[in-house]
Amino acid sequence: MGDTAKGTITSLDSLFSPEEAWKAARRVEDAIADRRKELDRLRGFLSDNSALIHLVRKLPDELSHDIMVPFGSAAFSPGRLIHTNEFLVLLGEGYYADRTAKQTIEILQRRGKALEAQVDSLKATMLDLQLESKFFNSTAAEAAEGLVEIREEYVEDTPKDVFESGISVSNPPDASKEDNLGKPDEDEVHARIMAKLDELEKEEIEDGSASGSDEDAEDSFQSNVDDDKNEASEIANLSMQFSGKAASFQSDREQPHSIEKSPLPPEPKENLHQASVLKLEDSSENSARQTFKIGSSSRRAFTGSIVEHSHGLAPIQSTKSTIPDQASGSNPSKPVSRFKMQKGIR
Amino acid sequence: MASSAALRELQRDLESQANALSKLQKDIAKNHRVRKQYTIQLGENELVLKELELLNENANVYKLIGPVLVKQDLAEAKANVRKRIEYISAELKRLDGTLQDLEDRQNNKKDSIVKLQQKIQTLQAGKAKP
Repeated sequence: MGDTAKGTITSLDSLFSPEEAWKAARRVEDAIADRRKELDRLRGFLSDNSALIHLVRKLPDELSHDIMVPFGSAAFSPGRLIHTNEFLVLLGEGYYADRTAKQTIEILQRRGKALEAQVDSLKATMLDLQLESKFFNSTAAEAAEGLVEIREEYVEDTPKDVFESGISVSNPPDASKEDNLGKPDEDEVHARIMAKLDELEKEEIEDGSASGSDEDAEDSFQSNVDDDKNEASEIANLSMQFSGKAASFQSDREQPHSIEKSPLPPEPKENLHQASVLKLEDSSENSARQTFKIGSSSRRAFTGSIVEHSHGLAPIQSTKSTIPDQASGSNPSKPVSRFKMQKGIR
Repeated sequence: MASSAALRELQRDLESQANALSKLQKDIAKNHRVRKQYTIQLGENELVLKELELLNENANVYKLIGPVLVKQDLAEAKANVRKRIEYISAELKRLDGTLQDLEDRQNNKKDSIVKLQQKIQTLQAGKAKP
């Protein structure tokens, strides 16, 4: 197994030059500055509005007010404000309406609410952009310090019966330890995963029905073991997990883009690479693939994750491996699965 | 000699394509600007309509026409605002269509420019060798 497994090592520097990443980060920061200006403007409107509400509220308290009436732009003359409960309110688009102080306050409060909604949406946009710029900066820093990315296709041939039913395994916390040790420990990692799987399957058989699916992929060893009868539900499960992952990745990475471009719905594709790369391509053109790779490795710098695709589910899987799919060849009628390992190693 | 003439031809072609592309990009930017303006107007009109709906029947409504305020019927004002919203929505839709078209054309231009550049490069490489 060890001699058949092959991986590729690419330095981030060659994939994506730090200068370009810096440039991208700077562009995003410019966008943030624009948004900040807009936000300041809206805040100004909001404070004006509340001051106006305050004024309108206390104007009808008196029958008349002594004021200085502006006379042109230069002069003032003393005067008196009467009819303190009658307002001519501009509704917008040149429309005015006669209103009382109370009605005016209602209108102004509705306007304030609309402004607040705008402020909120702007804040959300800014948060997205800030995340994006942080991502670009970290990418640039990683590329500058010579981080390398190691990718390996994980192909299993020994205890086939375990996999034939489709198992999804993802163990970031476990893998993080081994990642520091590097490639030589791959066998050991694999052995441990296998042991765990066997154990889980035994449990499953004893339990009988329940298909253990741990939704929380982040902090626990996640596994689905199922017998052949439950294949269909298992596949549904898997696709759910994958779409979940795709969605979470997109929300991290894609949302900032979708503000500028058209919003892209999260695609429930099990092939994360394909989906994300497709989306990135229109925004960052030729560096799209690199961006994604770096994205995945920076996100999982020390957390390799093993994701197994049920074969029937993933016909478009991008196979980087030079090894032909032996498992599916030997047993084509059943959905045969295999492992795919991604690692980011410093 | 023939290759250098072809090269010059290609470069001229490239230049004209680049000009066309920058023009397209300008159009797209203009489209974005106009669209932003319309979107703002649409928001304002919707706000006005909401307020007009909240007024009672006998409320006085005025429209500012030039320097004078003209008294208007509430129903009339509402109808006018609705019509305006309709018009703006239609306009926005039209702008979306043209934007799509412009972006398609921009992508096509980009492709053809890249192809031209590659052609020029291969020609230059071929010329350098012999």
